This record gives sequence, structure tokens and C-alpha cells, in this order.
Amino acid sequence: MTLSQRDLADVGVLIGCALRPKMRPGADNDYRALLSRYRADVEFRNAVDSVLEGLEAQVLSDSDLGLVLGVRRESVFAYRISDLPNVGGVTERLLVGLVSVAVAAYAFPTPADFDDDRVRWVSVDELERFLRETCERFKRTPEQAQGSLDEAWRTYDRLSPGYKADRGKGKARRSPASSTYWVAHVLTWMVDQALARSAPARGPEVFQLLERFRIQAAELAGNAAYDVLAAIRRGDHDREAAP
Amino acid sequence: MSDLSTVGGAVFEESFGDRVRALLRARPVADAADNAARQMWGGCEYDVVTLALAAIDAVIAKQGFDQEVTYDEAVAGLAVLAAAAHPERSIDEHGAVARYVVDALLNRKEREAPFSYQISIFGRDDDGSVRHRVGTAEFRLLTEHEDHRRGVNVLRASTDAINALVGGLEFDVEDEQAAIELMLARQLERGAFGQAEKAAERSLLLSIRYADELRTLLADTVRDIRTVLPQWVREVPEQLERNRTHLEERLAAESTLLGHLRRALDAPDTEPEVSKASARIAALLEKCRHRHTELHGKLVNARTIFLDEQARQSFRPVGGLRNPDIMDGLFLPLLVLRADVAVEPAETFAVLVSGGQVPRVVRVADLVDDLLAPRRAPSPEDPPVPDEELGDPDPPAIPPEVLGAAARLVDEVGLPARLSDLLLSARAADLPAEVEQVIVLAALWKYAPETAQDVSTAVDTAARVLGAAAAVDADGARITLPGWSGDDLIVAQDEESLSRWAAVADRDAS
Repeated sequence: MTLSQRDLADVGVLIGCALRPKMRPGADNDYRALLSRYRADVEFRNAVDSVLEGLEAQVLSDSDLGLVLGVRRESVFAYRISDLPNVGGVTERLLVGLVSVAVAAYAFPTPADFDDDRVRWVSVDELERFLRETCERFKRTPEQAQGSLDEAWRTYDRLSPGYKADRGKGKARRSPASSTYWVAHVLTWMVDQALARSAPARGPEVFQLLERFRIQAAELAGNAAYDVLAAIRRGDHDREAAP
Repeated sequence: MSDLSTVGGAVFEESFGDRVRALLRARPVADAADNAARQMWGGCEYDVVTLALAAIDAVIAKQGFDQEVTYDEAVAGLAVLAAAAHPERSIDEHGAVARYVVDALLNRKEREAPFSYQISIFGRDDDGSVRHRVGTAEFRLLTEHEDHRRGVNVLRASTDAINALVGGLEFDVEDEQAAIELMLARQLERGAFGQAEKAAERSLLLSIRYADELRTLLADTVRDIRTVLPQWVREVPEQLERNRTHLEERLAAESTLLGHLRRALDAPDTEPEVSKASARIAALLEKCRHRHTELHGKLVNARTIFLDEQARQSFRPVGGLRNPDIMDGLFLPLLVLRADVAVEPAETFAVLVSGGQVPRVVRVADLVDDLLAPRRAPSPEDPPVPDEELGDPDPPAIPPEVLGAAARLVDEVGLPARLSDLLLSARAADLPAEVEQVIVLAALWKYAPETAQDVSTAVDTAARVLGAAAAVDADGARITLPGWSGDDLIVAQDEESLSRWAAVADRDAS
């Protein structure tokens, strides 16, 4: 038995749904039907997986949440960090990356934490404090204190935490020279990517990390970033470290 | 050694620690009741312990089904109870009490960290001396999870909470269930309905705990089959088979019991309490049966899930199977790298965690349309946007202290006065040159306002220096002060005094 043209069109529809992270199978009949077909029908599943493979993407999870896609960096669907507002230079890209990793480290400090699917909350203030305290710890360790002065943590440490966000004109007035600007920036971006949602009932600038974040970090991002890091440590990052 | 005999040997036994741990499960609830006195509504005696147990029960009732209890639902349910306890208090307070109880069970105060208590573990060495070691007991009562279908947060009770509620049962679920069944049958025979009801409740809670165990096993299997593979090889298949027959028995046994109870209900000489109790138990058993049927479905699928996952995960890249150690493996090493080197791995994480984006491509059709569209002529009605609105307002050209000094000076000299008098006293008072200039400019503005833009600032400045109704006129006299030239203007506080000044001046002249 081979897949018909109609089936291949369905493959496309399902991938289309998966590329819209805010779409839920619970709220969309077609999506739900195709998702259960993906789970049950091996041939259909192979077709979807192969098409995704060609697009440099893969299915990370096929729960009721929907098809969660992991997208490799070379894919056309990979997010370009420089598309974010105010992210032009190397420093800004580093900050976005560091804060993203910090969110994961703060919410899932040990590997076992990824197995627990209870809800995680983060707020701009908490994350700022977490990063700041980590920097302070580095300052107290002797080999870091007299280091080469261009370690990554210093980039964050140089930013001032001060801001006047709760007075007057709101967070729009927060300056990109403040650390809270970058924390809020990354969290807001995660809301756009359906990785988090804001939880105003729990206080100002509190966010709930969604299941999707846990899956992306545990199944793909954490290990892939670690591999890049390991490659750099081995010293072969000069010849184009491919993730 | 004689001291020890008073303590007794039980404290050194292995099971003693279990009992301590079991007792500690109730401690968060007790602490919450203690702290309640410090709340805004603390003066009013709400029974926090009962409310907490009611909350756990409400959560357990729906746990594992499609529509699990959300945070808001749990709070709403407790608020109803709180309202019944103290109807004279406000609805807001009932809500606050309910939120307090649910938050306490979630340990929100400490960011939903597990409850953690230090316990002492005593042991005895061979020579009879007592050893002491500190251990910790960590557990959660309620946890929040994301409901994948609905996208809302739902509450689940932990195994600890279920056990604490059932009463610290540490033995095998199946045996316990069989025992309860037996007890229930006997109690019904003896007519001990109060206890029979309790036993039925226990049986329900045990079913739920059992479902939870199965859910954990299956979730682990779906996530990473390797962590539970030894379990599947040795214990699980046997266990599943045993459970399956067991469940089938239970389903049969409970329907028999239901039949018993119904017969008790139908009997003509049943006492009202007995019939009421058996009706309640019947409803409870119905719930149990529902649970068992659900469980049975899960159980039937368990093996298929295992085989499917085995097939699926064997083709998964090995890298994806282990959970990453973000804190020690990535975050901290990343921070100590040189900034320019750290960009690559940090950005990799951000890009991959984001899950991608659909690129916005320029559509050729739109592009052609845009290029062929006739050039839009600027519409003459649209006034040009003034540049001032774009930037911040200009800083005031005249410092406020100069304005203040000028106004004070005018007050001291008193109006009406000649401009030259004002300027002379300004020089006499040794004020900065700007004060003179401001006075002159204000007088000139009042004499002949220029209709340029930014009128309001000039009007305001003149009004502050000379007064809101000030009037200025010239009578041909020339100013003789060095540094200034032109008419020696007459400055008055209003038109009326200006005309009086003019009348006096005319009389003097004549």
C-alpha cells in the first residue's frame, strides 16, 4: 500500500499545523484527526518524518499538545536571533542566548527535573536575581576574579539592573543597557514562540513556562548546545563547529 | 544503659523512620493552620485542616480523568465551604481563605518547592552506644500540571498526599484492596455501615493511587524506555497480568457488593440510617467501578504502548534520550567562556529552544502589484507633522531661578513703573544680566506680541514676570540706560492703572 496524493497533502497539512505552535489539537478537528493518524499509521508517520528530515527538522513529541518540532539551525525554519528587535551585534546575541539558558537552568536545575512535568513559574525579577547572584559567585572565586575580563558572565554583569519600570511609562522605557530589559525581552519572545505565557494573576512580569519549553530544552536544545560547547572545549571550533 | 530502657527499642527499628515520615506528611497542613492566624482573616476561625483535606479530596476525585481539577475550580469549591462556615464574612474573604489553603498545599510560598523537613535517625552500635544521623524527608502534596488538551493548568495530588489521606498505608495495593473488600462484606453483614462506608472510601482512594502508579510507569516508558527497561523485563509483565485478572475480579466483586447493598435498600424493614448509608456506599462503589473500568482500559493498552515505544525509540538518536544537565553542563561552563566564543553555543540553545519560525517570504505577486501601483501623490490636506512632537520637549530656554528673580524684582519695585526703573533696580540688586533681558523681553512681548509659533511659552513667561493682566505702553520717552535703547516703556499691572498713569503723566506734562 502506498500513500495517495491526498495522503501526501495531509502530510503537508499536519506539518503546517506543527509549524504553528499556538495551534492546539484540542481546538482543531483536522489537526486532531491527523495527529492521531500520525500516531497510529506507521506509513503516514514515516512520510511526515521523512519530509521533516528533508526540511532539517524532526518530531520531538506527539502528545495531545500537538506535534512539537525540533528545528536544526541550518533549517529554513530556524529562528534567526538577529530578527529580534534591538539584537544586532554579537553582544546582544550572546545576551539572548545566555538568558535563554538561564531560564532553563533556573527552572530545571538538575537532569531529573526534566522528568517532572509540574508547572514552572519564572519572573523577570527572580531571573535577574538568579543571574546576578551567579555573577557575584564568579566574582568571589579567585581564578575568575582575576580572569581575562572578557568572560561571558561579565557581559551580563556590566549591565545595570536598575530600571524605573513600575513608575510612569512602563517597560517600554526600559533601556537596552539594563539587564532586566534583556530578561524581559527573552521572556516576551518565549511567549511569542508559545514556550511561555504571562501570568499576571501571580504578580507583575511573572511567566509560566509551558510544556513545549520543557520538551524543546530536554529533547533537543540542551544536548545540542552541550555538543557545541564540547566541540569548543576540544578545541576544534575553529573549523566551523557544526551543531 | 538504664536510660535507654526508658526510651524503648522501637526508635531504633527500621520501620520507625517510616512512621515518622508518614506523620510528617500532615505537617504542611498543620503549619498552614498555624499560619492562618497571621492572615488578614486570621481572627475568624476557619478550619484550615478540614479545608485542606477537602481540597485534596476534590483533586483526587477527578485525577486521571479527562477534566482534571484546575486551580480556579479548587479555589471556587473551597470558597463555597468557607462561605458556609462564616456566611457573615465577605465573598472576597472566602476567596482569600480558599486561595490560602490551595497555595499552602502547593507550597507556593516557596515557589512550589517540595516540603522538606529534617528528621533524626537513631541507630545503635554494637557496643550499645546511640548513633544519631540527620536525614531529610521531602515530598509534595499538590502539583500543577499543564493539561495538554485544554491548555489550562490542572492540579494533581502526589502519591504522598493520597497516602497521607488514606492513612499511611505502606503495603501492597492489591492485598489491601482484597482486605477492604472482605471487611466491607463482613461489615455489611453485621450492619456496621459507618465503617463500611469508610472502607469503601479507602478502596476508591487506593484505586486512584494504583492508577497513578500505572500512569507514572507508562509516562516513563513513553519518555525514555531505557530507564524502565529492567522493570519491564523482570516485574512489569507479571505485574500487569496479575493486575488485569485482579481488576476483573474487582469489577465482578464490586458489582456483587452493589447487589448486596441494593438488596439491603430494598428490604422493607431497613432502618433509615442504614438505608441512607447504603445508598451513599452504593454511589461510592459505582464511582469505584467507573475507576476500575478506566484502569482496565489503561492496563489493556500498556503492553501495546511498550512495544510501540520500543519500536519508536530504537530509531531515535541517542543524544535525545538523556536529559541534559543545563546548570552544570551548560549554564555555568558557558558563563566562564570568553564572550566571543560563548556566543555560538548560547545562540544555538536559544535558536533550538525557540522551535523555529516560518520565514516571511516576499511574494512575487505582491511585489509586482506594488511596483505597478501608480505613485501616490501626497494629499495636500495632510498637515506636515511638526517635528517637535517627535522628540522630547525642548528644555526651557530661561532657567526658572532667573524667572523667579525677575518676578520678585518686579514685585519689589511695584507697578506701574517705567522700564528704566525696573532695569535700574535690577542692576542695583546685582542680579545676573539674564534678569534684565527677561524683564525687557516680557515688557516687549506685552507691548507688541509677535504672532510666531510657540505663543504659549512667551505668554506664560510674560505672565510670570509681570503678572497675568499686565499692560505696557509707550509715550515717546527714550530709555537712557547704557546698554539699552528705544522707548522707555510704561509697565502697569493692568489696563486701568496704565490709563491712570497716562492721565497723571499728561497732567504733569501740561
